[in-house]
Amino acid sequence: MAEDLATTQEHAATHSALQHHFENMEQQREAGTLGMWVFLVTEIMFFGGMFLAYTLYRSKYPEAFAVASNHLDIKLGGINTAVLIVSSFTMAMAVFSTQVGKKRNSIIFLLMTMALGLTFLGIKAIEYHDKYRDSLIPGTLIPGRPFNPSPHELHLPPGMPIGNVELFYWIYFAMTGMHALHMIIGVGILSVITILAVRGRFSPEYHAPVEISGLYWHFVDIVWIFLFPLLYLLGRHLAGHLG
Amino acid sequence: MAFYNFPGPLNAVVALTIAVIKATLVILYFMHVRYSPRLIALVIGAALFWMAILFALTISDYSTRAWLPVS
Amino acid sequence: MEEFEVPRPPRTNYLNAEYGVKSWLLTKDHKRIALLYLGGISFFFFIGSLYAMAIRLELLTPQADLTQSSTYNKMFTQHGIIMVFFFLIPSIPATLGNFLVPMMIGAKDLAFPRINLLSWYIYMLGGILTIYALLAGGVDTGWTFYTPYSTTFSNSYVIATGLGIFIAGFSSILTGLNFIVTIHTMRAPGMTWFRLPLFIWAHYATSLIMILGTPVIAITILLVAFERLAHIGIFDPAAGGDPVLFQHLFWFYSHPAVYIMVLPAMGVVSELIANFSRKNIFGYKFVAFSSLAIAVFGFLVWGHHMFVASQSIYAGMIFSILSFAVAIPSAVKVFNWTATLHKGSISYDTPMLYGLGFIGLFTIGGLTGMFLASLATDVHLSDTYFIVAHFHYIMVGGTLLAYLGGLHYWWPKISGRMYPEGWGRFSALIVFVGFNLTFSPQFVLGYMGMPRRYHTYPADLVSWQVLHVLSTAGASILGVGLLIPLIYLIWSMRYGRIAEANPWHLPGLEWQTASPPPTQNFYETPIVTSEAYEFAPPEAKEVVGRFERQRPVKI
Ligand code: HEM
Ligand SMILES: [Cu+2]
Repeated sequence: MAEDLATTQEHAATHSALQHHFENMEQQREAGTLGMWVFLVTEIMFFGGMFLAYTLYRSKYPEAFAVASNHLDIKLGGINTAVLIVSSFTMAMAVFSTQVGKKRNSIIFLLMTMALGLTFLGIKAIEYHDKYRDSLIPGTLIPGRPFNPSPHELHLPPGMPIGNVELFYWIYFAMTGMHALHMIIGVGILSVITILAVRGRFSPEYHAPVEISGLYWHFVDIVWIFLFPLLYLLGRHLAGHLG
Repeated sequence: MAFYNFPGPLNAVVALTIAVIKATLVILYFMHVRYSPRLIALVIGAALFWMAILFALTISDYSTRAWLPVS
Repeated sequence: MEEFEVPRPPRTNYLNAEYGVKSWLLTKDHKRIALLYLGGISFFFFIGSLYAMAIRLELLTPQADLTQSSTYNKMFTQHGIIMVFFFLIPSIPATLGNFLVPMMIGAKDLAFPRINLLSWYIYMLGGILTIYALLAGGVDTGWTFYTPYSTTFSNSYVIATGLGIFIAGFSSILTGLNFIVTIHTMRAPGMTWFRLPLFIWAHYATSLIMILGTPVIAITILLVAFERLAHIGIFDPAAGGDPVLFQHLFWFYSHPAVYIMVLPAMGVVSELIANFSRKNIFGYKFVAFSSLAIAVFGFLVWGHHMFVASQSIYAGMIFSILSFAVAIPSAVKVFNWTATLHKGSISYDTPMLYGLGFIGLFTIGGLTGMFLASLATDVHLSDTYFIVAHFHYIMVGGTLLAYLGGLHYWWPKISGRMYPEGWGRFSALIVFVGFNLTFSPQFVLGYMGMPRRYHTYPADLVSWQVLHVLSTAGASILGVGLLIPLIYLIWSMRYGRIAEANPWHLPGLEWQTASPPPTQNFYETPIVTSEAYEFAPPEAKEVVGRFERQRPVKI
């Protein structure tokens, strides 16, 4: 029964990165890409639950949401939007450079992408700290510093329940917090990819891991593309009517 | 690109439209969906479709609750 | 003795390819991972059954003899949580599915073997966390975790249990992801979509639900945990939140989740019915597409759990109509199975007995679902034992029976040994009788008004007690019926008759390789040239792959 074992030989010749259960590199790449897309679907549904909560409560308490939204730092949010979009571009360039075999460029672009990602997280941290300073972190999430903003600084119209403002901040922290967590994971993935790239593991024949990480990175960018207008911008026009 | 400011309720529509356009561009070009098998487009379509289910049927409850006063 | 070639198991197979605990705990072989899951799932099923027995014992008499209400609340909650999240949802996909999906499509493994192993560890981690929560003090919210009770008032281990379920959810997502990618990209040459066994279609549909629904329950549980931890107000009316939003999010997953439980069972039953009738399934495409239809329609009906939860009456009407629609694809399957039996050469081996049992019990469960989906009837029946009977007819009468049937059917492939057929049929019969005796009285009880989740009932209602006694008696019989297979399956692993490669003489790919299969499943990548369930005379059939054909042994 020696022939039992002598089976996987025929494709051993193709590429060292080919895993034993795939027939060829093309199949392996296809599986990896599809796998990442399917994973992104689960991510969409995960964020979907929060988008739903946002939609319902925003339509229930439009004024409170406008008031709360106006207290977000639109400049920092805007800068962060730009940072992420540029990082998506550099990521796409990193993938492209790997595909055409320009190892040096691909490493540079990967490093740029990570730097931009870290910039985003840094700015986010500044924003979070501002909210902490203003006691805007909802509930008792930070023990010893419960949600307790000054109504005056918020420009809270008389009679508006502060609890509805708190709901906004809860959704804000849930969504941006989840998003930031994904960013952190993304930077982690990219650092592994960068190390592999430095070691010369990728080539025009084998670059699926770079592509697949790129897909993830772009997805995280897209989430922010929606978070920014929904959280920072949508209440603007209402602010004038309240007062 | 972050500092547009249309007056009135149009703001919401404009902001979201811009977001959708940006996202579509990222998906089509950065994520290569334009040049990928149809299956990938189908996968994205499925995600959007299921999101739509989640929203539509939940909103069908919230938007009609007031129609019949609950005693 | 000369007459028969003695069937000998192949020398190296996936079971003896490597030895030692480490070779199991670090395995990337989907077949071994399936067995790891089998172990875990059986363990949780056992724990869940203990709770069930305790519940039935308490209900034997109208008084509270065994437990206080607070303990009873924990018992039915923990029974539900363990059975739903740690037994029913992973049961068929993670064991039989894991084992068979690659084999049935002619692949060497799932697309992501490491992720497959990871999913088992995640499942066990979630399970252990849940067990810890149970030991530390338990939960009493019901498996549904309704707010605001779960977020504000319950004094039990809601967060720890929720976290356990949250974690286990990821194992479900990873399994679904793996199946979808595998079925798309790893089919053997010639294995077109419409040659796939219906088991694969069912698992594909199940996987869709897993990846589209599970993330929503994940975020929902997180929200509950945060609400409980930090009083954020999202489900708290006092802060402007809405507790009913929780129910929407919960049931958006949990109604489709009931199809996660029953779709794979339908896949198993399609295999059993076609193969043990030795006929091609009636209306292959209808059965295949009805699986997909269930996956889609299953997401449109969740509001039928909220008819009496202050959901808008108009939404209630929409959900009611849609719930009737989802019964159509289920009925299509039942009709097609029955039509397949017509003029088949049926053999009543143990798996087939379970398969036939499934058809009858699932039909009852589905039809009573129709009662519940009608708005007016549901107001009367909601939160009574009628509900309990309804979903047990589907979850136990359906999923559990199909799981047992599948386990027996593929046992020769999995273990390389035959189970004792006589004992098999005997216990199948006991399970069927015990099951019906347990749950049919509950329909009547519910109709008469016995609420669910109570541990006492009025002592002067003698008929109630009679029905409860019947139900408890049935549960004991069911318990015996489940213990027998546990014993003889374990026994057969060592002492059972050695199984041939293809003991049932069937055309499916998984039968065209050795029993137990080698690590890489097939000695050569099979090339598929025929439709599924093609019962041609044996001489005419092309041998797929390369396996020594054994002369059939008379059973
Ligand atoms: C044929 C389609 C089905 C219909 C129309 C249907 C209908 C219903 C309805 C209307 C309820 C809610 C009753 C109430 O709470 O007042 C219900 C409850 C339930 N059904 Fe079904 N059902 C169907 C199939 C299934 C299947 C296939 C399963 C499981 C595999 C299942 C499991 C359950 C469970 C677990 C509950 C109770 C949940 C709880 O409140 O704890 N159903 N069903
Ligand atoms: Cu349901």
